[in-house]
Amino acid sequence: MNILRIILKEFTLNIRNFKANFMMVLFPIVLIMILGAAFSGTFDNAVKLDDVTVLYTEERNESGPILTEAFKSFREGISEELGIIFVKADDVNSGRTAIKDNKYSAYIYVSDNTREIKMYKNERAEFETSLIESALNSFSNTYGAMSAIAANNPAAMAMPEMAAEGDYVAVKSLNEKREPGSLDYYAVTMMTMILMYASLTGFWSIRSDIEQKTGGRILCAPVRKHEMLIGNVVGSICVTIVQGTAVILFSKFILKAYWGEDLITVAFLLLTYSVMSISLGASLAFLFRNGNAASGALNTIIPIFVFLGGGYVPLDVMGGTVGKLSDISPVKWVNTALFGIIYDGDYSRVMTSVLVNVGTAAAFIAIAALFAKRGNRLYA
Amino acid sequence: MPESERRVFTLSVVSMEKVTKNFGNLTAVDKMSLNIEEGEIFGLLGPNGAGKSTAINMITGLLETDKGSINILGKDVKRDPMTTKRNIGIVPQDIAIYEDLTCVENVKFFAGLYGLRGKELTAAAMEALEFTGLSDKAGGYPKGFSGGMKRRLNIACAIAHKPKVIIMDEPTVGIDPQSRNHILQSVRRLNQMGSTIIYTSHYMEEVETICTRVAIMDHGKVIALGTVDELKNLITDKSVVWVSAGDSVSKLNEEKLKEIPGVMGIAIQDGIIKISSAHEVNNLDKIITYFTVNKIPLKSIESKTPDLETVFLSLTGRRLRD
Repeated sequence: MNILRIILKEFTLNIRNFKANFMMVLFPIVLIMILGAAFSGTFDNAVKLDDVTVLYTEERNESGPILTEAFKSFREGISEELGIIFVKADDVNSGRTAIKDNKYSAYIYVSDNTREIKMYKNERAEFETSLIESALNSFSNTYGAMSAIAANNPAAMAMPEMAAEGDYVAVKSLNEKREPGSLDYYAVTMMTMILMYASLTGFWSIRSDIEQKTGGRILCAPVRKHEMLIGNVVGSICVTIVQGTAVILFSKFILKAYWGEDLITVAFLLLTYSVMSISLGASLAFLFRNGNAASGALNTIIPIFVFLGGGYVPLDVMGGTVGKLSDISPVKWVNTALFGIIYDGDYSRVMTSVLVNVGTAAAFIAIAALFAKRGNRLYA
Repeated sequence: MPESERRVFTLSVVSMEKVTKNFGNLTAVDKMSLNIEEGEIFGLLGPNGAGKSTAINMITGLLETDKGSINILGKDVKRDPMTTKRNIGIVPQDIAIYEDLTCVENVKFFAGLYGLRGKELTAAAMEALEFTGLSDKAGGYPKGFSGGMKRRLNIACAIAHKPKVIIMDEPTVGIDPQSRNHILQSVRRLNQMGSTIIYTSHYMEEVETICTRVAIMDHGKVIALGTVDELKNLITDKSVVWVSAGDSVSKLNEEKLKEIPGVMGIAIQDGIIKISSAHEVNNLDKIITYFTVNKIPLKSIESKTPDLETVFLSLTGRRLRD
């Protein structure tokens, strides 16, 4: 019962703290809006190839137009997927001349007779031609495999997966229907950033009871130290949940940021992350004798963790050493897992992130409990 | 009545037996033994660092003793802390309240930790606020309160659960005379209502006024114990002279004054020089001569009955507020 009272007290104190609520709710919302607007161009990942035109010539063999028929499927598929326009050329010479004149991105020659595919690239359209080349390679490999099977075991061609049209383009977005826009990206990263700052909530829940002597007064009552510690930490977690929920709801319904289809897993992951963050703050409250020094240390560590976690700019921009260094940041683990869930339905990193969060939280709480037990003079 | 006889007839509410507490090389409380009896207003008097707060923190269970034992109403603080804590209400030296909780929320929170629930808790909280004259501020936040009002709320938080022992650690520090009087009256009323009070203070006038018995502490030890009169009788061999010198008091050289035969201690407070001397030595003429020679004008000079300040001065050679 005493634990519940302390939880309620901690919750009430925090929910009435205007500065804390401004920091934990309004600040991330404002940042999401500002960063979302400022970097909207950077996050426009759509590959638009509407103006790419490819010239082609098919030399059909009417008695067995296998390759040209397959190429026709390829053309239709890739036109639909990437919006590339295919224009028929009369012959090889006119096709090659058009490429030399930079009128088209590439020229493709397909022959049923020689069973060959030739591609002539316009060197000036490097990106487009490499994409087309890649798709063509994929087509060529698939066609080769199917031809071999057809020659040796025609019955196997009935297998639906072999008969289906292949995926010629290897470009794959995080979500085939949706990619994170800047607002979506910063909704997630500002959320994880601010939850990292929740460590200050945990820190001050302990520290203010030490500095304002209210902790000593509580311990003069029939309350055990671990009850007070649990009450303060759980109270901080509760208020952080409310603050975090407010940010998610505002970003989802007002700013229309995308949080995916599985909000329960997202919420669970954020909960374990909040517990870790608050436990970090609680342990530092005991480790440091000077409250301002500890608060300063947290305010230094958190932006570094957030930076390494891709909170300000996407990590893949940095690469190399910074990319490796980012492994030390719990923000990186949670961000990676969250983007996996939201945009790719990928849960493979959730367990790692949960383990990192829970393991770290347990270590921090153990430190806090140990120091709380020993630190009699803190409250006297 | 001598200490040994008193113990036979009354119940010890707080009993300390050779209690010692060290902080590193510093011995904050040194083999302290004490019995506080039911219904007393017991004063703990001593300068900063005397060990008063450490002793109180050990009584409340906030600090563990290194040696010795403490019993509250017959229960050992170390072995049965939850029971002993239930019987104590603490008014800490610092104002330990939550500024973002209303008065009634503060009182209910702290009283609730002692097991009070529901209507009983609300009634007890309102009663405590009524007692401290804060019932009309029940829904107000302490942020805008004066120091005196906060001190009263500090008391309300300690008494709502009706403890048998109330410990007040310097409850009147830094407040106006009106609030101080209110608090002193409250202490008396709480005592009349059946609580045993342990009262620590710098202010010997307060202790002298309200305490039934007083222990004087210095360097972690109880150096004198008894009623105020008993303590004053300890220094019947001393006479005290108060000399008023106004602003010229700064010209005084205490060491030179102490060289006058018979002078045992000097304390300066609000322009008054309090000089204690051995009773049998008549040195008043030499004291006056000292002031005349050193051109320190005398505004007034009077012989005083010893007070607790003088008692402390005589016993330790130092002032209480040193």
